[in-house]
Amino acid sequence: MTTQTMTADRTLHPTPERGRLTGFATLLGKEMSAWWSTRRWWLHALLWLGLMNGFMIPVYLTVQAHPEANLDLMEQLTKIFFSLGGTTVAVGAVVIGQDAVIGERQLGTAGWILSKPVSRTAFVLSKFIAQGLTLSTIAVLIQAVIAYGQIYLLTGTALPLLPYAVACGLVILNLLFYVALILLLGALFKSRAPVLLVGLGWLFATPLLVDILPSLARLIPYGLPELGVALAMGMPLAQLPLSPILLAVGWALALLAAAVWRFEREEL
Amino acid sequence: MTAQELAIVTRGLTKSYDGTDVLKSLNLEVPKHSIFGFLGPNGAGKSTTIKLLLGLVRPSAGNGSVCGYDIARESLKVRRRVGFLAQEPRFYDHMTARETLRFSARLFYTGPDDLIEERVAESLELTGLSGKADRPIRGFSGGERQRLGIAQAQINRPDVLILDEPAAALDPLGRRDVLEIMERLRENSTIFYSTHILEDVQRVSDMVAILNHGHLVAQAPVEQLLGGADQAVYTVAIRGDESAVRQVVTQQPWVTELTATRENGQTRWTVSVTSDDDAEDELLRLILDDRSVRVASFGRRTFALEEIFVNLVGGSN
Repeated sequence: MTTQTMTADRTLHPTPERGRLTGFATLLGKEMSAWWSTRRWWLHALLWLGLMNGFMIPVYLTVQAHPEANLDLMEQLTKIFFSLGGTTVAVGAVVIGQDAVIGERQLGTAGWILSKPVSRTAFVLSKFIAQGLTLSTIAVLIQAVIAYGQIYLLTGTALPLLPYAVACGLVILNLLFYVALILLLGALFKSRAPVLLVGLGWLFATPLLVDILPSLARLIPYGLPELGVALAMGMPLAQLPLSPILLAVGWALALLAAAVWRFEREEL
Repeated sequence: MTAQELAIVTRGLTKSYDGTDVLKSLNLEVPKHSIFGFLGPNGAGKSTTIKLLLGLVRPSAGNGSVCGYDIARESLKVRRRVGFLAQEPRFYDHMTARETLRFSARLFYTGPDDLIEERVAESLELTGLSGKADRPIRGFSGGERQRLGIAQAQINRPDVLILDEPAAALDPLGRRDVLEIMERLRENSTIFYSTHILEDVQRVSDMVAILNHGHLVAQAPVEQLLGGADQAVYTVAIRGDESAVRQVVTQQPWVTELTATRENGQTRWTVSVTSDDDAEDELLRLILDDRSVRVASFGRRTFALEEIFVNLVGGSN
């Protein structure tokens, strides 16, 4: 080995041109540090703790107070966690994500960032990945670990670990769908109101629409949290239907691609 | 001027919104290493031009290049060589000035952290922000934000610095500081800046373009513009009977107009000429050939930029 190759390179080099991903790593680092280098992450973690795990003790006390109802405590605790998980995490994704693109556009930071060698695709993708990873960790994974412990402590029985983990994965997939939906809405609209309205409208209107038109459930991501409850309660993994999962993945990717396409055409 | 000598070129660059042209067929040539003042009243199309150069908006027609790269097709290459300061610079409020500069530098460079930190420290020093480097930006004054804006714009040692109204929101001291920084940066960069502060343009710019209602109405070196773009004007104060020599001068082919007024016992001529060379060679000599007159003063008339600006854009605004 020559001396030259052993010496560390002590110069700055231009960041490599990665086409549509130019600037992605730096933007992702910035997005992640906005969560994890500030108190924002633990404030959110506390908030989600209250929202997702705060109902365990009241449910336990209610079941204990009414033995005549003959309720299965583990089923009740698991249901409350995954039902709340499905809805609350989706609402959180809408409320937290609605500002991601619009806020930067209105504030002028989007124009500033995009005056640097950064692709618009990287701008949108970094937001998707940072929000997806952060909310999955803070709102789902941390809460799932705490819920697992609580259920064990309150019932004295541990839920089967693998189905429980897959059930959490379904909640995360549901969350990612909403993160992608909100990024697209943020790229489409100029103000926050329609983003919130459409995002929350989709969330709460979907069950009603599926009631009226059941075949719709085969076309749109629907029922993932309910599948999670069934899995955690003992449905064999082999019986887990793949179509809702593939549908959710497909929709999330399509929404993300549409968000990128729209933002590429945005005039800042 | 050859393409290699130009930092920015636009040809027929046009931008329309809902069928209305806000920029109309702009042909601009910005020489390398110049400080180029881009003047115009509010709404003239200055910020739109800057956004087009940076690829933040797309041209409706025409094209342009910065550092030889096409602004529409090679925008990433353009942005790698450009530094930009927005009219009202906005950053992430939770970051400090140092973090903002570190983040900006990392968008341009890979390499050892200590070299990035060196670059950040140099930029803080240049803009006088070293003492405030670790304070969150949310507490910065307008002037401090502007300095940070300049610091981040030059962090990549750009070939072209594009500054949108860099001194508009500053007090006189802040303006002076920003102009001094611009003069320091010109050693390595071409500086293209929009402004409506004519005094600043006259002080630091080499070249000026004036935009009005999306039209380019003038583009010239500052000296040429101040001296009168198409016609040079000379003023002469004469004592004695100047009627005979006035006849002689008026008949010269390079003299287009001569007006004479009486003031304090002198006759004051204002002579418009088509050729500076002829005027400089001949005008004074012709007058002095007439032994009946004495010349009290002679000089080329210069205009104030404000006068030119008002003449060019005043009528239509």
